[in-house]
Amino acid sequence: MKKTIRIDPVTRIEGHAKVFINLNDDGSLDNAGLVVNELRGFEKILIGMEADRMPHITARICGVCPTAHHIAASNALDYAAGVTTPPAAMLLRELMYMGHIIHSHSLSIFVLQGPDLVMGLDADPAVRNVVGIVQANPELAKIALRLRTIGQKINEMVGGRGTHPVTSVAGGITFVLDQEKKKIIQEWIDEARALLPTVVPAVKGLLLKALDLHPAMLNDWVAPSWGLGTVLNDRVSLIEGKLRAIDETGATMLEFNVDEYDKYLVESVVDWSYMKKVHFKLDGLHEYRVGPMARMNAMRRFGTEMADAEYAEFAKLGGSPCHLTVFQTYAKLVETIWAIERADEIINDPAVWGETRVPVTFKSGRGVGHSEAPRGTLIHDYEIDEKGIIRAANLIVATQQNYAIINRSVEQAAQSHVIGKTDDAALLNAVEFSIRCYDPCLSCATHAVGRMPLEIAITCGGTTVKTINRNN
Amino acid sequence: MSAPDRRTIIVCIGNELIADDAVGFEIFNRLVDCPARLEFCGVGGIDMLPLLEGETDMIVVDAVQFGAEPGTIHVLPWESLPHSSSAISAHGLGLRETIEIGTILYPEKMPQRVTLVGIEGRCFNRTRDYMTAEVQDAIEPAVSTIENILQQGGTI
Repeated sequence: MKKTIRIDPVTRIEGHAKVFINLNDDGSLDNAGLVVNELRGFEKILIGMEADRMPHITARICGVCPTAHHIAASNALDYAAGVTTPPAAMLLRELMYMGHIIHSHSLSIFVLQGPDLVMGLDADPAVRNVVGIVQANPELAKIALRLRTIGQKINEMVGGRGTHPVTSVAGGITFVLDQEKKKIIQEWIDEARALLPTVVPAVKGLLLKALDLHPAMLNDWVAPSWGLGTVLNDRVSLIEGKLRAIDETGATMLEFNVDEYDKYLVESVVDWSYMKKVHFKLDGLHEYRVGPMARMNAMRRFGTEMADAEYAEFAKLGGSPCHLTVFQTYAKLVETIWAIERADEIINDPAVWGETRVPVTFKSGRGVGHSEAPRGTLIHDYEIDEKGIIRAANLIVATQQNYAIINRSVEQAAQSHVIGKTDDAALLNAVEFSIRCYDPCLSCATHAVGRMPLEIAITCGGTTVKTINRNN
Repeated sequence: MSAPDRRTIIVCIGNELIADDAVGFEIFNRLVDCPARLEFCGVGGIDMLPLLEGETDMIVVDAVQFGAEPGTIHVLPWESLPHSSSAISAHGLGLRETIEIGTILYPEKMPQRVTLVGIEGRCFNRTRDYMTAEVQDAIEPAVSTIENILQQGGTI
């Protein structure tokens, strides 16, 4: 008879996200996965709207990665209108985006994963939380939050608004750079650069300490898989370029333009979740990873001094390509370094002062565009009619693409920390940690204040034999 | 309404595209003329901290799920809020944790009083058209509640 262990974080939303672990009679793992009850209807509400509203409206889908939607939508509209966006506009979009990456990764590294790294997976949940990490290391926390604020300020100045940017439009960007704004942005970048010599060794130190304490993370939590990332001019790129698919060994299997995504990325339904899984289709179906680690596996060069030096360190410790789930944190750190350096390059590129907008008219047809969201490749695909109205929309988000790998990571965490162990807290921590490495965006909208009971139901033949609750 | 004698910041939180989650945005729109400093955040949590400029009072307006009837208006000092358990994604940092962090890192900027005006919601996984009727009906009373708190100089 099979036994099911169900971890039910529920977040604030009833039935929002659960983890199940199915055991065989002998206590070995049968399978495990994250169950997602996705928000319904976003693609539907876009239908009937004017296409040029897409960068504004889709930015509001998510409070965590609005700029990723803002830029993917703008790229899709440029494609639909058949215009070549002026180089200065692409540079300014990218500058906004670098602010967004700094902002998003700082939170993810320090606030979300920091507690696991600082306190260790076995620490009492009463201290293994974000308040605990701040108490344990207030100076590092202050620097991390300052870095986040600097990212947000860059995003806000170029994007016009902090949380939901508005300046990127079909055909370019409405933001106008002047010497005074340049000076302010340069000061922010300089300040961020100055924080790096403190932040980088501190985060690496925490990560290495965590690996020392939990060798399973290094030895067992390895998920070899295909990867997908964007490349441009022989370096990693986030808002333009070709998509490159690599296999487990890091060999390039395919490079393609985003408008061909539907040939290679195929969605499939799983019977235990509302979220559709995406596989890469090329001589069979392949599970693949997107996000910071996939990007650097696909293109092992950033083209800036510090980021490339840090990537060399990353590869030395984690391999190249790297499939260590826990190294997602390190990958975010390398990207943060790069984002600061790249922002510096952009603001000092003479091309940034050029024309920033060309006129657009929509012909009837398709608009496809993408961005590399902090969590991975984000694709917007619209059908636009001759009046410039959206008739159909398809959004492929990072979490869907990472879904298969997230589930495999949950299985591995269950294998090393759960199966055969009686420590309920370790079970919860390990499974949560493996999910957190991918920072899944479960519905992009669910933040209502409230209680988050964490519940595990262990069932045997349909009968619940044990319930573990985080709040007990 | 006379101007409050204390410096108050009101932070409304929510996603205007999501059923009951839009309630914070609706209230924000109705408070535009109030005498306090007014801010809107798509997502709450840690991003509220940089907004603070040493105000003595903060009122946070958000949809909540405390298990009450939809449309219930909760007025709570932050000290009485429940702890969030650990989050699995960046969406999950609670108001209580945010204030605790702020108190450790930026004590000079933290308000003396933080009050949550939480509107109990039920539907968070559908679009704006599906706002629960009781939540819709709670918008105006919640606005009055906030205006009363302002008039009392932040006391509840």
